[in-house]
Amino acid sequence: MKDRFKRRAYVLGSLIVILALIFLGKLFSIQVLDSKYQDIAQRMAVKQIKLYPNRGLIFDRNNELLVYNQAIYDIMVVPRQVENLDTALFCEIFDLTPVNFEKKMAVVSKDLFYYSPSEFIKQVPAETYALFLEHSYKFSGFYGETRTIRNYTHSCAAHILGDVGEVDSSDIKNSDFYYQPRDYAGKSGLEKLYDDELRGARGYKYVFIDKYNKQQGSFDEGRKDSIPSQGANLETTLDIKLQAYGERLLQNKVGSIVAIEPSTGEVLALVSSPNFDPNLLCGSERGKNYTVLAKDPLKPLFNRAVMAQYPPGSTFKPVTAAIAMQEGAINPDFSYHCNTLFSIPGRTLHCSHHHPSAQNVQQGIQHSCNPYFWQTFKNTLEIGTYNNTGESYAKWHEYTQKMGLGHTLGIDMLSEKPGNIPAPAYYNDLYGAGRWRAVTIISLAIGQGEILITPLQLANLYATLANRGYYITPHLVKRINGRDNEKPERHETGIDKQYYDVIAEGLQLVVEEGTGRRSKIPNLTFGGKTGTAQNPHGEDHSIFAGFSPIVNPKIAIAVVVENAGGGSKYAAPIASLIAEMYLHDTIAKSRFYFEKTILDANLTSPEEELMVETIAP
Amino acid sequence: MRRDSFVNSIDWVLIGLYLLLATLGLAFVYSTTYIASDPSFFNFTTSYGRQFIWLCISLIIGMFIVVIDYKFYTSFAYIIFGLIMLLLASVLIFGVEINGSKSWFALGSIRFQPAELAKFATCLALAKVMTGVNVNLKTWTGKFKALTVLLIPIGLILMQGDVGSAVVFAGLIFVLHREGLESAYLIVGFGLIFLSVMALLYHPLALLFFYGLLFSLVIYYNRKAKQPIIALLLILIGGLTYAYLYKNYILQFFPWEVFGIDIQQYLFLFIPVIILILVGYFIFLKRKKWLPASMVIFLIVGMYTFSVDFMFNNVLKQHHRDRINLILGKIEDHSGAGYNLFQSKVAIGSGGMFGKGYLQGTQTLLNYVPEQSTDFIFTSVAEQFGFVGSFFIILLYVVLLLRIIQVAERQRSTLARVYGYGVASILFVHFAVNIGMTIGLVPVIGIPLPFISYGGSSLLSFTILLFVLIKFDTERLSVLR
Repeated sequence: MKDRFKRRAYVLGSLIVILALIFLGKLFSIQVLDSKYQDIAQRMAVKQIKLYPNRGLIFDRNNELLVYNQAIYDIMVVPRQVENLDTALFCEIFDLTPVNFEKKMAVVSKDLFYYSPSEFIKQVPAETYALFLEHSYKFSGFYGETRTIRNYTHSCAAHILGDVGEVDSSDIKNSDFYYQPRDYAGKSGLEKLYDDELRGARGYKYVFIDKYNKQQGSFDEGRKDSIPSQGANLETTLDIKLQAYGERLLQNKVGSIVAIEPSTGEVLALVSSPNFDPNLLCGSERGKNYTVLAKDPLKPLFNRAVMAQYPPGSTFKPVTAAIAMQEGAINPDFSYHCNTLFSIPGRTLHCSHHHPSAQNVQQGIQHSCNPYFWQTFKNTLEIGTYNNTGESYAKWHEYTQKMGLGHTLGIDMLSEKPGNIPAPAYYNDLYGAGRWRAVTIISLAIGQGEILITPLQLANLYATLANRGYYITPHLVKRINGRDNEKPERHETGIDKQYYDVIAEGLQLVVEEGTGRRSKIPNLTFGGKTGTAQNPHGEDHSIFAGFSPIVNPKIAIAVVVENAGGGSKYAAPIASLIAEMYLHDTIAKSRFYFEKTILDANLTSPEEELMVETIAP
Repeated sequence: MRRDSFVNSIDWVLIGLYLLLATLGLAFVYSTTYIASDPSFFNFTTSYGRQFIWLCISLIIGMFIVVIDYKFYTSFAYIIFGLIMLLLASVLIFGVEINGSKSWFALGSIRFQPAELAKFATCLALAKVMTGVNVNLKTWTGKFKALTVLLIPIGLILMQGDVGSAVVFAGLIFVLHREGLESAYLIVGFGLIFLSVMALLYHPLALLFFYGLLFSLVIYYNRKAKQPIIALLLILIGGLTYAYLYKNYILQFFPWEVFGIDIQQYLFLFIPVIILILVGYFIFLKRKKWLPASMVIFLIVGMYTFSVDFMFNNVLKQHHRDRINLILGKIEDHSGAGYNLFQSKVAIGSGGMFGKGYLQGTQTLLNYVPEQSTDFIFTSVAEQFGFVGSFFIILLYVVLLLRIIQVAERQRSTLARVYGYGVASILFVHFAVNIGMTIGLVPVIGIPLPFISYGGSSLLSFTILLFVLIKFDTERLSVLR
């Protein structure tokens, strides 16, 4: 009887074998055929930790520290690991309402975010973080990540230095995806232009993490790890004391100052007013402060030194003179009897000043006689060397370009504007080829008409005059990590030195006896030209550009003060104070009152003034 | 001479397989709780330390089992059974609840699960029952006796809330089958399981399939006649047309819902099947006895599919539903209910062909797989030794199980053979469910992998289970019948 069922042994036996084969089949497919689990396992178990290098420091030309790094902390959370949270204490430490806390937790706990780290609170200062650490055992699931933000030792040079902020999608793309979300990068100024050098190179550490997100040793014995390389330090050309002084001089005024060392093209100071404390754009208040600054009608974020374009007015006259002398259109002792009227067919132009007639170029400059320069310009364009006005103007235009006008200079700043000296083609289009002459565009002679110039170009022009015939590309960075930066180019103007000497004498006369005589500096030779840019919307802009000393100049300065009236009222005094401070390290006692009037002058309206004050730190 | 042949009569193959599995088990348990800073093996506060102690205890008890006279087991079978059933009952009162089921006794830090011993006791009792002179499973009395032995422990264990252990006892059907239970029960049993899975997966399609099978059977028994084959073709074409018409037109008129179950889909099949049966009878078959039989089967299958749906939605708890839906592929979940399975697959899958090496498994070392020393111990094998390792362990189990069957078959006494099949069935269910669960073929049911999973009571119980068989085997030649 038992034998009858003996064959049934095979039922269980074959079932066992069949099942084993099914299992082996499935195992083979999971383990050998499908590689996705290996990827998943690795992603789960291995964490890449980014090691951030220190961002490079920025110094001024005298090794004064301008920008340094400060540690700040992001509070991260892995929602899955949060348990037994002392919510009340947490909210107290971080100044959160319980409602906001819940809202934030809801956001970071959605779907798969529940298992991975998310940013919970950004940029917590060190003191708060220390408090958090003290009680961290009550906050399981939360931990801190160290970040660095920038700190500025002086509350000036914001436009030059720029700022650092969290990257957005365009930053990430532009960096060829080196940057990842939550990284910090330079957003403007030197921080942005030299971002590649300042940021150094990230390092990576690969570690195993267990189910509780705790590190459990190095992956692959650290073979894939890399150490970060620190950011390069920048040594700038700035003289921070001068910069600060310039910003003080321009307080409550709208305008800019640019000071260059002529022989090297190094920018000693570059001020745009109104400005702001660069520390405002650091840390957790950045977003808020940026919005306030952006909404200010006086536009403190707008860098007037390189972005504002003005008609140079009389400060342009030395250009007219230099080109004319080089072309042989006039001699240095060209005299012109100014009878306050200048006749050209169809029009009569007046000379705006009352002054003795200019006997030579120097006096022409000293008295800033308009007819003198109109005539000079006319002579230049009508000289017989060329076939027509178009050609002679083209040559004239070429000289201006060589003197750094009408095009960007290539300074290491963002958004540099090129100014404008119209090319011959412009007038050909406007009037028709061959149908315009010197008298048509006579206003160019005295720096009016279509001519536009930025304060930087103006300073650079006077550096050219100071150098007697060439300029070095103006730049802000001297050395990167101790090594000299790329040598900046020297640009020749193609005009003989002797003519520049003549102009320099003229400029000195302006300050000694001419329109700029109020701005004479005791014990210092100082030369320059005042200018008034006509402003259809209000008071004229006050302009001045010059250099000091006359022989072997050490500083060339351009100052523009908007809505301030004539050049001698504000621009020239400011330039002279800058020069005196730079060269003598102090202001002469006799000039203290003079200095005070400038410092106290308030050229902005009361409401506008208020706006700038609310964000002062 | 007796003495010598005693040693020879021991089945060393079984002992060898047991020792191999148990020591490998120790190594794997060690790997799941390995702490690099304290790699000592003899640390008795750790699971592997404890497992080691339990193994030693089990070996000692095993030796005793083999030495004690076999008649002890055969005579005291019912008493042992009764005592263990008492334990199962008393754990409901004195026991401790762990992981949702009240099935543990706790004495200090030592915990013991009587359900594990119940497996041994039930096998033994069942074996004793089957040795009655006139016990025939084909008779209802025979069936009743066997069923009682099974239902008492199953019932008590279900009362503890431990569904997993209860399922193990279902495996004893193989014992009954070997001893004469009609194959139909086995076929119907598997058929129902298959039908349930189909019903959960594809609903009406399951019914359709089943009916198709039925009619194929009808055709087979009347294969000499041509008409049934043509009839089948007509049924297929007609059925598809009907399905199309039903779906797009008729459905709008019969939105019935009974007990919260949408019976539209069943109605869909209700009508054609009735027609089919009637057509089949009147036109093609003219066999009177098929009509009532078909109607009854149709009704039963229909009601069963209903009930599966009903049971699934209303009787099973949510986490049961989740686990079943998970392996049916209806839901995909990497957190919550599906977390265990996901982590298990990741650990297994990342082992590749040769594994990451002993103590080099990232998922194992970093504690990603839950319950890794117990229910999911197989993942540590698969991750550290890859497909090769998995293959080897599965091979060991297959050899062990087949050897047990072989040993059972060579017994002359019914009791020993029945007992042997009991051992094989129980170990087989554990093997199938445990490994199947780690690879996502079986819903997550928490039962250990014999000899390998960490757990003192299960190791001891399995040891007793096996060694009693070894003992019976040593006496196989001395039994007269």
